[in-house]
Amino acid sequence: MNATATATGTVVGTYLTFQVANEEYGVEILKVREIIGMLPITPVPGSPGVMLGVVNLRGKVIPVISMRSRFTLPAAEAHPHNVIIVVEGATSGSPIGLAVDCVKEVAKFTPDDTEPPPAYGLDIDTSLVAAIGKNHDRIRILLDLSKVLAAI
Amino acid sequence: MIPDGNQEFLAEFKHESQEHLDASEACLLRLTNNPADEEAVQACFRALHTVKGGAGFMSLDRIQGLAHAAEQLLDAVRENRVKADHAVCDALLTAVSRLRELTGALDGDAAPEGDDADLRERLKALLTTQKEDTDSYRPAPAPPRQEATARRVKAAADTISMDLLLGELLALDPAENAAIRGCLDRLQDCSQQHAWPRPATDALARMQRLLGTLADPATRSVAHDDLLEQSGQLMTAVAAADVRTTSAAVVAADGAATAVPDLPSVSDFCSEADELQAQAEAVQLASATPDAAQIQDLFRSFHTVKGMAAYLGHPRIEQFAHAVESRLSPVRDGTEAFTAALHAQSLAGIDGLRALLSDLRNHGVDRGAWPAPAAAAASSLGLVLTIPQIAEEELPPNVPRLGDLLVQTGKVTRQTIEDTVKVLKPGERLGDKLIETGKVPGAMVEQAAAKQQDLAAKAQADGFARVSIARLEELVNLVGELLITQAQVAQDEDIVRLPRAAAVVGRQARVVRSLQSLALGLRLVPLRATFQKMARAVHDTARRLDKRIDLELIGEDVEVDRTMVEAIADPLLHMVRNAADHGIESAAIRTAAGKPAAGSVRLSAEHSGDHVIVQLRDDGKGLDPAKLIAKAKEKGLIAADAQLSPQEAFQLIFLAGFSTAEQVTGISGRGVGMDVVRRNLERVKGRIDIDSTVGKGSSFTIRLPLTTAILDAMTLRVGSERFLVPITAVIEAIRPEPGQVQEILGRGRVIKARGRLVPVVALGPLFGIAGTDPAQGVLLVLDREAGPIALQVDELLGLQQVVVKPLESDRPHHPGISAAAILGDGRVGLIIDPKLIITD
Repeated sequence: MNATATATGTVVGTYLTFQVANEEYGVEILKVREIIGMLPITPVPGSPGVMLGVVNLRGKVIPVISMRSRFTLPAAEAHPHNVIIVVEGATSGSPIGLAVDCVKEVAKFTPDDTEPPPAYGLDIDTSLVAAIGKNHDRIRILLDLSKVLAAI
Repeated sequence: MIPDGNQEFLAEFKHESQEHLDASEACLLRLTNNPADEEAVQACFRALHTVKGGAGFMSLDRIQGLAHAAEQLLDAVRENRVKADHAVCDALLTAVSRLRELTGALDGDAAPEGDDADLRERLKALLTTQKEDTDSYRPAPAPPRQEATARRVKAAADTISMDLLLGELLALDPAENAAIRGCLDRLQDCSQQHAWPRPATDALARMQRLLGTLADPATRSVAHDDLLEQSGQLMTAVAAADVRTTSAAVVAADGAATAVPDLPSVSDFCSEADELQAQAEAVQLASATPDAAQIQDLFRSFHTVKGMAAYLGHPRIEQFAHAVESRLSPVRDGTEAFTAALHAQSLAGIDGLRALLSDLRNHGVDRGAWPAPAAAAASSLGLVLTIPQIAEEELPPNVPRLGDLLVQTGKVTRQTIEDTVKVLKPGERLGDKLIETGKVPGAMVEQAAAKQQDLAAKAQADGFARVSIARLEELVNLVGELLITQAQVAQDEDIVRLPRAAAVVGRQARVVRSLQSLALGLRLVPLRATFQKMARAVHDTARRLDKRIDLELIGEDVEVDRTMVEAIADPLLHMVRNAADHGIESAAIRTAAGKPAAGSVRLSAEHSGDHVIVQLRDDGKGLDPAKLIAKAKEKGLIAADAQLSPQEAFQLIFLAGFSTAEQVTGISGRGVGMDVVRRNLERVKGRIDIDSTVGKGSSFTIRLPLTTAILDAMTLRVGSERFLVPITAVIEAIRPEPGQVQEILGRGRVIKARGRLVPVVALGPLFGIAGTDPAQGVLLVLDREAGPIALQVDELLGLQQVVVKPLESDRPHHPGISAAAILGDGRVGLIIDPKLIITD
């Protein structure tokens, strides 16, 4: 079930989708460790702006990244649906939290359901996008997690 | 390779063998330094023998073959047919290394190429080449065998007396202070007599200190809990000091022919048991109608033999003595008269036991056969002769069943076992049935049963469970969480107001705290294994460079945090190699300088408060400050006109790209070492100091915190955020008067504290936290190597002990933040490292 890039740059696999601002995004389900409700976040001085801070995940201190700020979208009021998606870190494999507005569903994508990211017209940096999912009459932006976590 | 592919069994064998190989390596290194060390030969022989036996049992032919060859050579050394010279020790060390690779490869890694024929030949050749000069070689006759016996007896005595005393102690009412004191005093005697290891005496000392609090009714129950906890630790500590008396019987697949472990201990036991039997006989013969005291003596003599046999691992004798003893017990209790028949039976019992003892004495091991007098006596006593087996429902997890063990030998088919199991009646044991029906020879069942007992004993009593570090960390994390939630319960006024709740919550708090200290203690491991690696490194280096180096290891039992052991292993290895390579001169130079030809390297560890000091000292040529400075200048690492004190000059070796070796050897001298050493040590908050005198030698002193896990910290508030500062760094807190903090041109804000000008750093602006009031606030003066610093914060919230967590983040952050901790309310607090707060 691993997501694999096909010749056309589209992806196949199972994704966890979530909402940030007006768009629905997806990350590979295999990279997701768990979904937790919002926790009190301790800001870490001197860290990059996308990093909200650190939280106590059952005794482990893990960093949390704001997906709004990663996509250079404006911050929003806190909402009870806000959650942290805990994913495996790109390099060390240690967990990293992604703060999102809310989670939506777990969806499967076949090559027919996806197409390569367009060069223009997206709210976010195209280089973060692996493919566009277009099944179930919805447009969902499937993210390349390693790029999302890199360089911040 | 393995008939039944039992992976768990294989893993068990692998771990066990690695331990034995470690032990034999240590022995061989001792032997290298002292070829007359008979005890080392014995221990190494035993260890390799066990590996060989296990490998035979598992049909691992390659391991068995090599172990056998090594064992043969050791046997020759043991019998003084071959001298333990360097060639012999080297070959044996190589064999041990190969065996380690082979056992290491058991779970799927690629095994080393070849069939070890060369190595086996080398070992074999050594067996014969030396024959001519054996007469000239007679090591000083040391009494190691007696020592081994003494140790065995001491170990048994330790466990027996400790068990009894602790049992007594635990049964005592907490209020009986005098009785508890008496009991502790006797434990103290016992500890001195048998030289108990340090952790045990420590636990005992703590128990004695509890006497005062035990005397006070108000604190009694708490103190008693502590007392029980300490006695548990005492028991573990004594047990950990290798008191494996029950597993003394060496399990060997190839049977009794080679397994002659510790003959003296057998003969000691036999003579002692004989003496008891003679006493019993005297009682018997004195009168046909003995009185109560005589019956008591008779009973006790069998009972004692039974106990000793149990401790020394002679199940047959134990079983037999038990049968006689139980036959006599109604008489002792007065419920039955001492009849003529019973008289005859107990005499037969004495004869039977004698026969068993003489059988044991003659063969050195329990042969698995019942001598005729014993069999006769047994049948008259109604004793069914069985092989001790563990009932399936009593079998600890991970210990294979008897049938499985037999199938693994490859000599019994699974079908045979299954057929036999089908006809078993309730209460009958598989092993007995197999022998009875003649399907499997008794000796083979016996061996499998012994192996099973050994595994079970390990699994239960002194069993060390191997737990992955990740799970250990998880446990520590969860216990930390438990502590926090417990505190939340304890602080909840609504809960505490409930009747009876306060007492329960208090007790719970105690349990959770014990759990925490236990969980954190799990992280501590002795330095022994690390030191042992160093011994090997010194040996190899010395051999390669043809130097003579005596290595002394002190304090191998000192325990430090597991992460610390990992962090210092590589730096230490590097330093030890350096010492052997650059530090110690060649024998010729040493002799010319009037020093002993053999260099001396000393590696020691000791506790000092909450730190561990690891010191490496050599008596080599020492570091020459002038040379170091010249080298640094030549390499452009310091300015050409720099003036350095000797101490500063020593520090140069920590610079990247610095190497003093005139020749680059294969071992060290490429200048990529000491800078990495220092960096690794700093990562675990360690420090390294150098002292050296030209021509006399050098010493490297490493200071390490005992654990990186716990920190006593001052909690402080800045805006709405909280931070922690190590309490060891705090000098004082000042609430400044208006005007006390002054602005000095070019140096920022300072305050005069204790006659010194201390720079003031406001944490709010430094960390970009809004909402702090520069006019208000407290100054926390912290000690640093670079001079004190005063942090301006909004409020001090108090002291607390926290568990330090790494900031699991590869994102950049302010360098002044070193780690994190979970605070009392479950939130994360950040720990400030004062030395990294920059003042300019």
